[in-house]
Amino acid sequence: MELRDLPSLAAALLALDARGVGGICLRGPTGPAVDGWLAFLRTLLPEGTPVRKLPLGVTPDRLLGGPDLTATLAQGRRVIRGGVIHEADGGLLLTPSMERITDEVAAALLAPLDHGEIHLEREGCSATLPARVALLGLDESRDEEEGPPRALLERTGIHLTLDPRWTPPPVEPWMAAVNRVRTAGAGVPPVELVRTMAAAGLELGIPSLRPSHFALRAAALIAALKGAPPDPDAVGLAAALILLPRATRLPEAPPEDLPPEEVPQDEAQEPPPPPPEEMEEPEEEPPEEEPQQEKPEGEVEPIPDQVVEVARAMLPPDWSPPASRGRTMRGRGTGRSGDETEDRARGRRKAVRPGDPRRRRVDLGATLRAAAPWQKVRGREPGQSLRIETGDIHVQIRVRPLGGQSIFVVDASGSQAMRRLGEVKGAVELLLAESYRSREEVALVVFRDRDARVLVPPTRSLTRAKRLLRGLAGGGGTPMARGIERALELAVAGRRDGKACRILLLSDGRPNVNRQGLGGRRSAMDDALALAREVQRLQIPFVVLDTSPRGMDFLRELAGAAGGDAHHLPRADARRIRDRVTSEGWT
Amino acid sequence: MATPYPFSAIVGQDEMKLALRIAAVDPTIGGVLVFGDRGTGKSTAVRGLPALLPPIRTVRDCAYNCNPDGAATPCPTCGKREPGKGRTRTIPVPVVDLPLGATEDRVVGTLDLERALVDGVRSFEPGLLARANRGFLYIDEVNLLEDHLVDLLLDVAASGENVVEREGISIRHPARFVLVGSGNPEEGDLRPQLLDRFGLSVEVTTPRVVEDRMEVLRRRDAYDRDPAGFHRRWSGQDGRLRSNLRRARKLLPDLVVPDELLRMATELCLALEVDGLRGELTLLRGARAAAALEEESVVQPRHLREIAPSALRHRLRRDPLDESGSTVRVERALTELLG
Repeated sequence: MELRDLPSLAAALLALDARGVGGICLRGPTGPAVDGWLAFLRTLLPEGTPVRKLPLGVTPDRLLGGPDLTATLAQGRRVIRGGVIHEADGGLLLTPSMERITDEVAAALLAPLDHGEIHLEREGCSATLPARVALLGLDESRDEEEGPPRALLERTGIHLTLDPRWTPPPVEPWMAAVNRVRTAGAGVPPVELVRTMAAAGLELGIPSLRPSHFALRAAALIAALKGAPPDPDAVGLAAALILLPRATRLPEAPPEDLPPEEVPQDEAQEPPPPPPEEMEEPEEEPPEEEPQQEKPEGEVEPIPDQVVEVARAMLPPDWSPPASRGRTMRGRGTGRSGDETEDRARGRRKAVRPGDPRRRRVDLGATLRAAAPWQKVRGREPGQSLRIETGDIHVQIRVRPLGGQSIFVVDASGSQAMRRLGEVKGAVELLLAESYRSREEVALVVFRDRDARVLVPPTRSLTRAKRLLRGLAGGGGTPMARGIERALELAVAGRRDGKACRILLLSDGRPNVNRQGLGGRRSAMDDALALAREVQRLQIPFVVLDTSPRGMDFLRELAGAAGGDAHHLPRADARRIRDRVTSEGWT
Repeated sequence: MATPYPFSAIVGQDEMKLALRIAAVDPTIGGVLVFGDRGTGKSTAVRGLPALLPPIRTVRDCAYNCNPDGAATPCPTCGKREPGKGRTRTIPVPVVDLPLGATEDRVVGTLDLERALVDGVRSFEPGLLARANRGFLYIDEVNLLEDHLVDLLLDVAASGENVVEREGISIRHPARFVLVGSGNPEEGDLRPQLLDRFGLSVEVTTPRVVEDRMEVLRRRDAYDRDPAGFHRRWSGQDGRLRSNLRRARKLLPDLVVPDELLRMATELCLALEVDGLRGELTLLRGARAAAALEEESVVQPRHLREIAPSALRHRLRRDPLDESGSTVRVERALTELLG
């Protein structure tokens, strides 16, 4: 039995106390590995543990429960039928394609996951039903997608990516260990373990205490599986399953390992990059750090190095804290938050509620269900047709996404990087502050050194953007092609959701790192131009803001290749950038 | 229902706890909004409230928790009976949870399904608004609630009564409750019109000190292990808060608010450019309730200071380029005013 085989260990923990460790979000494409893992888990689960599948299109009455009209009539008393969540009480809710789960379904899961019960208030029924469930989420999202709702990821303990080549180990030793712990229990976690977990959350930049709570339970169970008191090894394994996947930074490395200009911890693990051409000190102060780091030194007790080492050893060598994953759930009101507009013909069905049939499409099923209980009251005789009143009529509310998505691609290389980033940050915040009215989503891609990354996935939340914008780094080479490539991926994904996407590139120079991340002016420029032509082919609006002192010919050429314009804004500040975006008629 | 986590066992989060206690002392404060980090015990605090609140007397068999001594807007049945007569009962203050999947008919009330189906009789079955009368109505993840429901709740909360016209039934019943909403700002902001209608708005953040985080984890673990035993261990603490609340309610009507304090409240609102009188009113009510909870007889400037961030931060105009955020702006204005 190899405890370091994380998928097997995760299955054992779920079999022992799925709610205690917070369930799992298993990431990976559907295929033999996931199937094998599910089968392995099922063998370990206690006999009779319910595992209920949560279909993507599940209706609220099947999800939460509601009146059972047939049974009520037959039995002469109100009969409530529990939904899928209640049926999974004491077991697991299997959620395939967790990244596509609707906000409505996700919202319904939050309370059961937190409190272990469903408070049913639907269609004439009021009940509290037990729902001690844990999520068995299968996340099939790819890199550039946002993934499952964040509120759901927060309440899911284990976040694990399954290698498609993974195969289940022999089940017997695991079964024996699990059975032993199930009988003996894991006991009260020792104070030292609690301290380590409390500190780990802080050191890894995970403010919420939910993950620490899950990890505490996991560490105690792992120790019990080993048949020993909790040691750094057990803690490290628990951290690898639950804490590291949501880390926003790594515990500080010894100072000598840090190249001087690498301020944010999330880059501290990377080797100092060989500068392709220019590598200058940022001229200005790095952006302010998280306020949580401003507290007096010495209050955070470092978690034992061994713990991090064990956890790190479980992860790929080039691992760095992942960009914040998960999508924002949207309010359910029609057009309320402004990101959707009603579209009677083509929209997706968002809600069904009583309404005027002249204005919206009638939902026959809901109308009949609404009318059915009252037939006796309305004096319908057997054999007569149904008596339907105006109040029964339910209509469908259909919506389609509204508004656009501005994808900023920002050159964070070279000497002016920090200043430009600061101003873009201001512009993004200005745009988001107005996004309530303008219905605009903003995303931010930053390229520097040898690669580009999505710093702010598409969002309309100012709070979220502000948090992600902290700790920007600047300097190094100019991999412009990579930046445009990332922006294109976002734009294509945004379009799939029906959003009007556009790309806004800010730079003051020419690229010198190509699409493969290699240095060299010529191939870097060719790659950038090739991607610009791809932008034109896909008909994505593209604008270049040239912030160089005298204007760059290359940037004009690039804009032309993408079918867009270049604007020379040598002193671009936050408000000017914002005005430029607004004047393009983009918001 | 399972034993809730005791209110007094929540580590830190003093601002949130004070705001909820203030709303319990003076329900006219107009609701509490709790916004902030995930996993900070927002809903845990609300679920722990009932244990702190002195029980209330109601008319027995009244689905609307009517006060036996008479009410400004009694329910249809109690309106016909003579105040002070009839059988009564004592119940815990209702703290009603409004789940996200709730349908409108269950919120406002509708025809009794069972009686309609089985007996063919039209009778009204009260909804959550009736159950919450004289208590609290709680919505977790309030920014995810359907729009029309939020509007409906705010209207009822403001008017104190619920008017139902459906299925040939016409009814009007009292629905006075404190609306408590919680949420995470990353899931989207609340509409400004909505924000303004909450009396107090508190911000919660997770503890950043290891000892506090340890304490949270240990208590949570102890609670998970043995909810009933944990509850017993904290019942004394909860009891002390309960008696304090009872005394505060008695003190509240006779509290003296010095003229100088009124002036300070006005100046503070002027300095922060808070529109309308609602901010000022909440500020004063909040300061009074805070003084009552300290069992003082005169409201002091420190009570104003204590409550000002919660009473005002959600009423400031937003300036995205002012990094400091609304809380800091309130603090700054306070320092300028009070030193």
